[in-house]
Order: sequence, then C-alpha cells, then structure tokens
Amino acid sequence: MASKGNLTLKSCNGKEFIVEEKVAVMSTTIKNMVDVDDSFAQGVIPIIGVDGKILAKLIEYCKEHAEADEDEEVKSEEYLKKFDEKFVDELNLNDLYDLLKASNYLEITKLLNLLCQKVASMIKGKKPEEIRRIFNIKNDFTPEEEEEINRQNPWAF
Amino acid sequence: MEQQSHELPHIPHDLVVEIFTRLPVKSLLKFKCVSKSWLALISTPHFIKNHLKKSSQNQDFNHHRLIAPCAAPHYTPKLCSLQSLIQEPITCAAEIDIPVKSTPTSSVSVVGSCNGLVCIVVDCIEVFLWNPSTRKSKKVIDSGFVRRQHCYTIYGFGYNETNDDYNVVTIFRALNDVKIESKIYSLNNDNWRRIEDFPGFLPCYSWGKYVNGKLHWPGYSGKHDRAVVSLDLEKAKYGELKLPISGDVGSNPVVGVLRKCLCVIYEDQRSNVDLWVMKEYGVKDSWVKILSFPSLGVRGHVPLCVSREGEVLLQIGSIFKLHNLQNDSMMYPKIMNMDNCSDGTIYVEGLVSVKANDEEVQRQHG
Repeated sequence: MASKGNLTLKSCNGKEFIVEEKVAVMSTTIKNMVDVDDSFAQGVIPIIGVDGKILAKLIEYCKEHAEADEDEEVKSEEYLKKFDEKFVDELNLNDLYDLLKASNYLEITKLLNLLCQKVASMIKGKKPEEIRRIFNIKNDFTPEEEEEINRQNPWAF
Repeated sequence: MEQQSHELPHIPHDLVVEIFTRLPVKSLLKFKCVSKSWLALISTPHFIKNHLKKSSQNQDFNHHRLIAPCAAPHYTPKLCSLQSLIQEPITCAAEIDIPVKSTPTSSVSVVGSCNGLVCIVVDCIEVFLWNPSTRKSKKVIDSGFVRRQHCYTIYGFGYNETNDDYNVVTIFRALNDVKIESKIYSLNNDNWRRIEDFPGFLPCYSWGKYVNGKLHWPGYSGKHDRAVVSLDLEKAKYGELKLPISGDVGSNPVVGVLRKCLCVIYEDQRSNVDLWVMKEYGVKDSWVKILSFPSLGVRGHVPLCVSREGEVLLQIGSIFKLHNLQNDSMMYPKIMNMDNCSDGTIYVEGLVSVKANDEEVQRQHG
C-alpha cells in the first residue's frame, strides 16, 4: 500500500506504480476518482485499458510537469518545452496512438494537447492517399466525386 | 524487436476532431477528399468555429498572417507569417491573388479582418469580403451612395455575434454637405440599410476597428474634444468613449486593438509617442499607458499585436518594431518584398465562408 501522499496505479496487465498524488492528479479522471471515493486514495487505482509500458510513459510525463508546476525556478518553461519535444519525438507510431487514447481517457489535458499537436504536424503536409493509409481509411468517394471536391481548391494540393 | 507499424488503428472521432482543430486550413481543404466522413466533419459550422477558436488562441501566432497593401507600384496587398515576423529578424512576404483583377492604377485597401475574413476596398468603391485562406470571396453590392468628386468615404468591418452576421459599415459625406451619412451592410441579408448619421465631425481618415461587438473610429465629442466614436453593430447605434487625456493631445490619435482591448496611440507635442490600452471596455479610468517612446519622425503608428513574451508589435510607416514591455528593449524585424507598405491588418487563417444564405460564391476573375 502506498504511504500517505502517494497513490498506487495499476495497469491493465497488472503492473503497479506508486506515484505521488500531485503527479497522479494531473489526470482529471484520477483526480475525480480520488475526490469522490476515499478508498481509491488508500487502495489501488485500476487504470483500465492502459498497459504498463504506456502507464510508465504517462507517469514520466506527469512527473516532470507536476514538479514544474510546483517550482518554476527548477524547471523553467524552456526546460519543459525541450522535455516535451524530446518526449514526443522518441515515440513510435503505436506508442503515440496508445498514449493519445490513454491521455484522452485519463484527461491529461496538457499531454493530450501535445500529442494532438504532434499528430497534426505529422500529417499536415501529407497527401490524401497517404492519410488514408496512416489512418486506415477507405476512400468511399467515386472518382467523379473526388475530382469535384479537388476542383474546388486545386491550389491546396 | 518490436514491429514498427506505419498505420494507426481506428482513432476515436473526438480525437480526430482534436487533431483537426490544430491543422492549417490548407491541409484541411486537401483532406476533404479523404472520405465522406472527413468531408462532413471539416464542413460543419461547429468544427469551423472550433478550429477558428483554436487557431486564434495560438499564442505563437502559427496561423496568423499580416496583410498590408504595398505600393509596387500601385497598392496591392501582400502577406507574411506573423509568427516569423515576431521570431525572426527577416521575414519574406508573398503576393496573393486578390478577388478582383486590379488595373495598374487601382489601389486596394485592407479595411479590417474578423474571424479569418478580410474586407478589402478597391479604389475606395468596390467592397469585397474575402477569405484569403480558402481564396473564396464575395463582392458586396453597391451601397447606393452617389459618389462625386471630393466626396469622402470610410469603411469598417465587423461581426455581429447575436445574429452570426458580418457587417460592413460605410460613412459617407458629399462635398459641402454637413451631414455625414452612414449605412450598414449585412452579409446574411445581402443588403445595405441606412442607419443614423455619424455623430459630430468627420473622423480622421481611418478604417473602423472592431472589438467588443463595436466598430471604432477616432472622432470628436462635442466641438473640440477628441474621442473614440463607436458603432454597436447589433443595435446600429453610435456612442463615444473618452480618451485617456482630454484637451489637445497633439497628433490625431490612431485607434487599434491589442489582446482584445481597445487602444489608442498618439504623438504628443514633445514628439513622444504614447500607447494607451483600455483594460476594461468602456471604463475611462481603466486606460493604462503601456508604452512611451520618442517619435521616429515617421507618420502613422499602427499597433498590431502583443506577443507571448509581452512584446508589442507596431507598424510605423513601413517600419516594423517589436517593443518589449518588460525590459524596454526594441527590435526592428524586416519584411523582404514588402517595401512601402501602408497600414497592415492581422488575420487568422480559418474556414469561415463568405457565402450568405448558402449561396456559393466563387472567386470572380475580372
């Protein structure tokens, strides 16, 4: 059991992480759980649908940001910006996707913003056919319909 | 070794929306043909609004552009990235096709911008509502004011939130006429309607500045006192706002908007330029002088924006100046290919349409 001020988070594949409460409550979902039900604060909080690897990543991110929120002197805005850049750059596509879903479910707004921004910059220059491949989307337009849409903004391509 | 995938499994709809609100307009136009559901998403008014909101809030000005008419040799607008102007010593301006084919002698003015739409006036007569990001535009019908030589016309462009309508205001005085008439154009109704006459004397030659649902011009209160004249777009009623200093303030004040606050800038008799911001709209005591510097001897000061770092971007003639409020340091970023430009306007790239009543208006080639 976690000592006072700490919370235990359990991933879907059974890995347990003891984290400081201020780190865990960067997630609005966890914060609401702890606020509403005191037993969560003492016991183990199950993080549904998030495996140990992704949960470790989430905790790494929240730890840096929780510390920065507490003491701006130690971790400046500049430092955090560099940390964020490195954090997203090191992710492969699968992890990026899993983190995106997990930060959405756990409502870690700052991280969700960062990851959405990352995906947006990844895809903004891509061609529609590349986008379909990346997002696994079937083109449900007829060739005529597609041409008609493209005709409206030929300069965008 | 872990298998690296190049495909993303199905992304939940709410996450797709989150990602899309961060994309530039050009990418969104391109992605309309990805699938029917993407086309539907990108075309909904709700998404267009959210996307605009997200882009407007971006403090690094990723999606903001500066547009300014440049004399080359006649006045035609050019644009550049606002982010680059603030962060880089040199920025390159690009030419842009305007909605009308201008003749070598015609002059194009940028009246203002609102929600990604820009209002331009060609030769002080033809008015266009234009989205430079989607390159769609609409020519506004004639206001009906009969123009003769030496008549005087000024414009303003703004948004009426209650009716979700865009308005152009024209203020008109014929030669030797005492009355200063005004009309308001509604994009929703596609018509002009006469409203009360402009109060007091002619305002200084300046386009209306939009903030707080109202347009603003430097004008007069009573006979001698300078004031800011406002026009409430919803009520179509004029009003006035007191300036921070009464009496003779020196040069004609220039009205602007910084961080959604009304501001005025003017040169006093000792050739000092003061920039005042009205922190709380309509409250005279909330005027705060945020900047004061010796004049460069160039006429025309346009307050453009305040950066995340608290630098005020000013346009002084064709010179751009970044003045840091914290340490009073100054920088003069250059814009290549934008010589002899006049008053610039900042707009944010968005998908807002200029069509009224669902009637698609394509770019007209003259």
